Amino acid sequence: MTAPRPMLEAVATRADLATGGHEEVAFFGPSGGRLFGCLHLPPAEPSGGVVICCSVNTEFENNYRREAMLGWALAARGLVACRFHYRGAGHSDGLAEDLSFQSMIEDTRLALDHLAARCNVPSVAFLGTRLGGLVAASLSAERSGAPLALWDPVVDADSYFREMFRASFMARMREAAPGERPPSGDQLLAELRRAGRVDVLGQTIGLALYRSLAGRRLEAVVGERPPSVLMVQLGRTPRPGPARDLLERWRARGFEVDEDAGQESEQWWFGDHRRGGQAVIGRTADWLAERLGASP
Amino acid sequence: MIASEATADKEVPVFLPAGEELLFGVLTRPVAEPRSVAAVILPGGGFHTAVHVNRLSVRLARRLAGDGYHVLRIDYHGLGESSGTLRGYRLDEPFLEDVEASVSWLRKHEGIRRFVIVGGCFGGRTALAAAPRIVGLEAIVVLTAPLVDLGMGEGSAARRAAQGSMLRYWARGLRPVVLRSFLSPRSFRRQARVARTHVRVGVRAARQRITDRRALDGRVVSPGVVRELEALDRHGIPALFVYGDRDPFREPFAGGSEHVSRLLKEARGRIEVATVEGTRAYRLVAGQEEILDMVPRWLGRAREGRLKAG
Repeated sequence: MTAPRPMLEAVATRADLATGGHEEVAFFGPSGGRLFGCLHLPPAEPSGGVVICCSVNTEFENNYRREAMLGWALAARGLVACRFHYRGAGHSDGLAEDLSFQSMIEDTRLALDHLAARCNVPSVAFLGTRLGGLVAASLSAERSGAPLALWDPVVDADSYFREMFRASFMARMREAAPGERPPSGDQLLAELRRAGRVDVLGQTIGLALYRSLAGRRLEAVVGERPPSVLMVQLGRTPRPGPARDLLERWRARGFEVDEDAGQESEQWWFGDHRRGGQAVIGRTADWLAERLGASP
Repeated sequence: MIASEATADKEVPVFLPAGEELLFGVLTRPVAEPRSVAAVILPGGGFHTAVHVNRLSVRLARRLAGDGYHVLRIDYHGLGESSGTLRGYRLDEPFLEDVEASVSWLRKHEGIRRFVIVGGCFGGRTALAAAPRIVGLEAIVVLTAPLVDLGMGEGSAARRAAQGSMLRYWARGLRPVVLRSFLSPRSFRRQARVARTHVRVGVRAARQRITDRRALDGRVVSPGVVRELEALDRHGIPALFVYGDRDPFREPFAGGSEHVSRLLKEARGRIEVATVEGTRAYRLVAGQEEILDMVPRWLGRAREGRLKAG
């Protein structure tokens, strides 16, 4: 008779031997709508918590490792970090076509509950990457005063979708057969409205996401009294544009805004730790630790 | 016909040892009558995690679990939730340790003795290289994998090097529009990086053409891959190769390689090639949907010995 195999725990754990912290990975939430989440925990009681709101589609993959490394960096500074996948994205349940701004916010609230159920933290901050910036800003606004860190945030959702459709058109033009013309942005939008979903660069974009984000601007989501904000612009040189313009408007109104720009490769690259690719991670973690009263 | 797919209710996150590292994976347990066969899903190169483009690996895992398979989808070392540092990808340096560790873990923790491997692009090449080493392997599926050895970012340069003469290849790089792009400070760094890639690929292609006439095929299939295909055939492992209908990497299977044509004939149907819509197999959502339908059906036929002789 063979020995019974050990039951697999519902929580997978990985230790950080250097800091004594560890990561807990689990599915949480209601059956049929379960979310995939990772908690990065410090060795001692955390002095604060950070919820990391990722982006979706290609941006989800491109920034994944950077966000994971940030989680570890926050735990090394005595904070607990919660990363998760929205329903309809990543390893979570749900369909991509059902993803919407509202569902992303609901899922972030669930992630925050998941963190709170695991740890008693006196204060929480939010970090958002790209489209996740709008989500993080929304949650920060719900908790007035919650520090907000933004990695290359989407400032104007309408522009975001225009750029996405343009990128799709350019990519398909490069691959098109002679005489073939790929769908234009207007045609993609018409298809989205007709079919409820559309293929953009091999990703399913649902009408729910498009409609729920129509007209959304980061400035409005943050509100009239922005919390302490860190705006990180990924890329080797500071770029003018809507994000910098927003930063200047906030500063002009006397709000506390910090900037980190032009010092980092836009795209996470392999072996980046050797080229200082972790610098933005460290600076962001230090900023969050300082705002949450932990030691950077 | 698959009655119902798995959901996250049937999934468990795991960390499994691979050498000095811990790989992250998600195990999906079967929702249908278990077949006692495990599928290991390997992502492509680049930034892909165990999720893969448009959640293809997640959807495929849940579809296969609906067909009775245990499924493990993994993050390679240095990616996703796995430990380690990833230096980069080369198609001729597959992550064999990651695959073997995954199979070993399934044997130990789920008691599985029979396996199939599904890999996209770099993952497909890894599946191909690992195949003869996996005891109990019953089939592999290779999605849109180049059969020529490339480093990260060399794909388009390699395609150009394979088309036409070397003279034409180098002439492309010396066009005024290309040279002018170096004058702009903003684009100089990017252009220099692209130029270095093209020079590297061009030199390698030229060397292959001069030193090894047999490796003229090396423009479309590397000698190492030929050996791996021969090993597949010797071990009697069925393999499905899936490409986009306009994928230039399909060329070896479309008469572009004498070696591959000969192997296909000798394999007598055990090596099958299929196409889906798009330039790469999973470049379009429509192609991904075809893959999700095709893979479970083909695995069923392959494992039951119902592949047609060529």
